[in-house]
Amino acid sequence: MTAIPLIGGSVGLACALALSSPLPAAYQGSEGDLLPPDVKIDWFGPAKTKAAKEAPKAALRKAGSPELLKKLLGNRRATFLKVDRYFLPSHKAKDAAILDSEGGWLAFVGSRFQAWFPKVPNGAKAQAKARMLDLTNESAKAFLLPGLCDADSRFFRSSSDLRDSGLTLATPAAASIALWEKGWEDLPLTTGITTLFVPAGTAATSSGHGALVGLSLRPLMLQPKGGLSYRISSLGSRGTNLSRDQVVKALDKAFEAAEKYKEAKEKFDKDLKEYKKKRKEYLAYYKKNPMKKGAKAAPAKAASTSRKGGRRRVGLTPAELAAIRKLPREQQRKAMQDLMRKKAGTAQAKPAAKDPKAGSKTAKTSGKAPARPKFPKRVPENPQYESLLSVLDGKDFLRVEAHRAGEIRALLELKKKHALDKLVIVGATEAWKLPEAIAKSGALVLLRPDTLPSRGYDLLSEHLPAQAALLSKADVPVCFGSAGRREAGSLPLMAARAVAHGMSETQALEALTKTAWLASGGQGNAMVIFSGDPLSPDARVLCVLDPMGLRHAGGQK
Amino acid sequence: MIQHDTARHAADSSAADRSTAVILNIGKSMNRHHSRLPLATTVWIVATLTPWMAAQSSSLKPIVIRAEKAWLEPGKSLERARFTIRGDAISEVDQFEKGSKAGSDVISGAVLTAGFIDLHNQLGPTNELAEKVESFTPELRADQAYDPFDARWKRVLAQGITSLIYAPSNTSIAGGQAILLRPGLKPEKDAPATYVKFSLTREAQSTYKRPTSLVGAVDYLRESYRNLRSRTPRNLGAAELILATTVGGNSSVGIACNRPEEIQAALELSKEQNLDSFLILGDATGQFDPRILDDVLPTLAKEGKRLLLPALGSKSSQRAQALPAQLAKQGIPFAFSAASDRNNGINKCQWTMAMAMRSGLSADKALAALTTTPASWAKISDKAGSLYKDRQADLCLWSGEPWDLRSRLLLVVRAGKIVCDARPEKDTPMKDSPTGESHR
Repeated sequence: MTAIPLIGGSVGLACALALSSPLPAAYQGSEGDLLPPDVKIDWFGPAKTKAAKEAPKAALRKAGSPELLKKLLGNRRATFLKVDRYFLPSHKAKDAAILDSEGGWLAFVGSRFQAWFPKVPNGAKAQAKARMLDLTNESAKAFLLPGLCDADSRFFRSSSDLRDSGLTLATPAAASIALWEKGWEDLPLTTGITTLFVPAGTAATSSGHGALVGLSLRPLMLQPKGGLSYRISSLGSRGTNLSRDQVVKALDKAFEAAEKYKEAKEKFDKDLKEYKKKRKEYLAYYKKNPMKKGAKAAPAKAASTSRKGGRRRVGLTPAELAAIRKLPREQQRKAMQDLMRKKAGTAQAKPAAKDPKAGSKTAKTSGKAPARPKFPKRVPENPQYESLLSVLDGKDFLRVEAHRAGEIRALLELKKKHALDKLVIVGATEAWKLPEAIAKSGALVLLRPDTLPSRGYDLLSEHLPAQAALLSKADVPVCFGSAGRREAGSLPLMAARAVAHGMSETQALEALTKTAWLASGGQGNAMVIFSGDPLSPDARVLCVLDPMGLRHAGGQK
Repeated sequence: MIQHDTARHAADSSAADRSTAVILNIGKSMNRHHSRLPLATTVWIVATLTPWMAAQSSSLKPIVIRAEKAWLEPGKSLERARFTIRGDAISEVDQFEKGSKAGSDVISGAVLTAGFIDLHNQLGPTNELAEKVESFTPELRADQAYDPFDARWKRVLAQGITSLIYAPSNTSIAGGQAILLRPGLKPEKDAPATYVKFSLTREAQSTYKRPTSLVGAVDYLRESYRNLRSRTPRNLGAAELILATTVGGNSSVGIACNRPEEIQAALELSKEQNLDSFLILGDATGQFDPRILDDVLPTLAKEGKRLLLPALGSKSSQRAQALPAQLAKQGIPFAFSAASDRNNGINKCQWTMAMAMRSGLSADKALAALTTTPASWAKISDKAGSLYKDRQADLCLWSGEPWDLRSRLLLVVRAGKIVCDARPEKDTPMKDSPTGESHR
């Protein structure tokens, strides 16, 4: 992970902050910020602890011990927050919960959740070194949840970069990201969005790793290895079924080629290991039996006497030719062939049978010098295949833009064929036609407001929220992306519309937080406290808690 | 106004008693010609007319809607409200008992509001709503370009808009008269104009016709008013007659402007000519210059000018979203113009209220900006914008609060008829979309 300082007017401040504070721990961890330490959550796999497996909600709600309370109260970096309710995402969508804090306090160190304490004695509060903030004084319905994520933003990228159609899987967004761009500053404190995923490109069929930008820190935090992007179709461009089929086939072939590349690399690694072993023996032999002056080391391999293809040119001497000429004309040809075969047979005489005891050991014991080992053929580094391998190995997400049901079906087949663990279907206009198939495959769906184009189509009302609700009912993980800049602010409203169509509030909050992080290939690092239910129109951000501390929407510290 | 209500009440009564009248008339006729009509003919007449009369009586059956809460007007609600609609008016407003079950013929929902009013609607072919060669045509009426059969009115109704003022486009400095219409219904003949539309925006400035600049546009309008004073009423043409009605505030004027300098010019012109004007913000795409927040808001507050704001959407800037709350804070009256066919399938009215509230606007002000405020500007407060007895039966039934995007618009009633029914039990099986809608 890399920290890239904000360039511009605040360079001095950014540098000072970067120097004074090391990389926050929250960025280095892989667990969710809001989860207590005894509940280890692996977002990409099953729960690791027994408690989380058996009763995740109970484990999440376990009260902290008095010893821990005492320790945290004495910690200057700790923050105690009192809110009305809070949302905890979980590794299983069904376990995610909106919990009532029941007048208790939530303790954090940095932005990392430590424990929930049902009561903190007044005397302890007065002597506490930790910061105690009762946010129910500001709003009786204060609601805490992880910072929201826009899973498909256009901030920090110039439009020309995004429209570059010459990108490949080896061109990451981090290479051309413009962190000095303005306009995003008020997003965390007005909308609660603290993380943005920025793709490498939108016009190219394939583009490299997208970047995840954490907005709540100065300098801006950049996680350069987000998901890879691929595009089967887009609603803006015309394409035929044939051309889209070609794109799917190309992706399939790219994976096959990447698999071959992987095999070749593995073979090289194996050969290299053997080479190193042989070389060690070779050197050991000459160390034991130093060469005499003028002597030559054993060649790497005996020079082949045969030509490629097993044939060797056989010449006839003038005497032999003269003898053939003396024969009758009809016999000359046969005689010449026989003679040449005879001569060739002599030249290609099989080498002597290998001595079964031959080899390095034999050479050592017999005193014969081992052959000099030959360095194996190196496989040239291919960044595109490397990117695809990271997807095949389950390290990175592959985000594929596909809209029609046929394309999505082909993509799911591809996922099955190559055993892809992490796939995001972007756009997915017709995903509602095959929710069961998507749910079974385990792919995520990223919905954008441009799922239906604004012109040229007779629009069907509320396609996006209705589709989000329908997919959620079929247990398909859904998230939202703005596909723009200022549109990011409307993502909570989009989730609220999905609730109107039947999505549960918990699912809607999951879509805005955990699923969006998953689809981006990273993690959020901040928490947001709203004045009420985050999906209601009158909810406002009260403050943002990130590894650097607490920031109030009103500007107060 | 009383006369108007009495007349309408009389009309309603006659409509309700239509079937009775028909039977009586037939009876009279039969009595008169009793001796001449054979029995078989009488039986045939009765047998033929009975189903027709039954159909008539069912069409006159009142619509009963009950809701857990009804916003009679913004800030004033009625719990457990029951509305009875007869004809095109609300005939009864009362409360139902707590826990009582609704009959099968009663429509139920969570929240009831008045139908929304859009003060500046230009849906339809834009080039039909302004003259291309002339830029000063106040005598033209926008309803002449109105097509009640346009399929897009259904989409407007599905947003809860039951009344709209069809206005000329921004491409002429005096494009014509804006007329009150009911979406999808034929316009009333010779309906009075709600306001005369002026435009000082760049869209009205062209290199091919006068005016070519803002100063030219303002001068054009000033000159027109000057000419008016130099003529006798008999010599006035159609355009001058319409212009004359605006002087002194006899007719309202809506002035489209987007930039601070245009707003400043509009304010000066209104002051000079003593116009009863309001400012219409937003170009064809609903965008306006956000500098007005810094430059002209204090002046607007001082002058007490009214502002008609474009609908908010996902592409609206933070400053545009914050504008309604700032206007409310400074006491500047404002309304939303929410209808648009470029809505990406979302309910712009609901979306606009939610976005404005996210930036600090109160729920009452947000609802008022789509109901009572536009009704008072269009001088139809006695008919629309609120839910009282004898008001027009324009209603929206919601599954929750109208400004909360988690609630859905279930039912729209326009002029006593259900024009949009999206109740879950009415949902059609999925065909062409996840919403269950069909392209066909």
